[in-house]
Amino acid sequence: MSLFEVERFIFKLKSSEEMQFALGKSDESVFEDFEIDGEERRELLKGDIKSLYKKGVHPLLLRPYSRLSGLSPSEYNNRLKALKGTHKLSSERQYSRTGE
Amino acid sequence: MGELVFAAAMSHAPGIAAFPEAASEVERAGFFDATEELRNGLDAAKPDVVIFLAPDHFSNFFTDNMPAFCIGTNEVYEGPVEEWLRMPRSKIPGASAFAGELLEVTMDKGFDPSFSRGLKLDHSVMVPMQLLRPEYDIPILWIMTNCQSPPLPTVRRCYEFGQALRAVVAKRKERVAVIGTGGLSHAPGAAEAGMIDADFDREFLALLDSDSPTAILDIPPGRVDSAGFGTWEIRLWAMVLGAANGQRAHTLSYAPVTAWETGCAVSQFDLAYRGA
Repeated sequence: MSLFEVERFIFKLKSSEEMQFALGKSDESVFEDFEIDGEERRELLKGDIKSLYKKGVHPLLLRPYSRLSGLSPSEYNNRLKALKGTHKLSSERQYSRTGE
Repeated sequence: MGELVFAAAMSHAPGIAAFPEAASEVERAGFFDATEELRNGLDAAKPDVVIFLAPDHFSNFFTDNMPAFCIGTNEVYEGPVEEWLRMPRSKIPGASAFAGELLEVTMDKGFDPSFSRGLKLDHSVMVPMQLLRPEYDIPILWIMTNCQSPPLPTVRRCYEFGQALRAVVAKRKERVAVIGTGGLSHAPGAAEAGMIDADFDREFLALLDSDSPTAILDIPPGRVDSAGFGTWEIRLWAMVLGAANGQRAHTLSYAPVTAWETGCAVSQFDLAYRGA
């Protein structure tokens, strides 16, 4: 699974009406230029935001993706409610300490 | 010699434009009365250029190429990119000459910013712009600061960038307004969206309004994280503080607006205090 490719897909989807149309018709050709495996393809076609969230898709990409998948904001929030506290983003340095 | 004639910072939650009616009447009145005050102040200041210090939200940049700072050298900006923002798509003139000089000066000062002639405006600029200068007639410059995809520039580094910006203001001839946008506590799109850390927000604003506003530069990153990843946008407030030479601010409005999923604040920096 490539989180980068899934996120890149959503980033491109946001500005491509052609990709949005293809996704809406569940046309798998929408994944042609992306290294996205079968499981992720299914999740993206189904609008499975819970699975995508658990896999670490950035919330600023997941939310617009959900809108393009036809999910209302309230339904989006409801689906993620049970995942509170499971995946909090951090700005702490991963490899060095600030100021080193 | 150029002059900094106006400095402010405010929240840019998309709900402000897309669904203002979802907030309560009291919340709306508090926020929009404050932005009206900023609008009047900006108009009275008569700037030649308005500089927006604002983040991107994966509208322009992705992790295949993510700058810490990107200076918009657009001759014309267009936005918003979000069709659901309930704002007509508009064109705004760009302050490309100012941007060019800012780019060169900050490079020589060791910041190594990237630049783009084609930045597309998202809600981070358009929400404040529509409230503060809906005429869209004054040239703008967008300095994009990465606040969404770690590693991020430190809050202190953003303050230093603001100081470098101030040096360019003084070097040129324009009357300049600087508006930071973002925050305060929020976690948009996360499972925690809607959880607002009003304690953090109030402490942050109290520091900014005090005689030692640069204390915000020492807030531990972990404390900012705990308020929600959207709180990383306090970097833009630190940038305004730097441009204002560390002058304190004055909070015009604050409320944790659940409907907009954001601790919404509006502040103006006191450029006359201790002589900016």
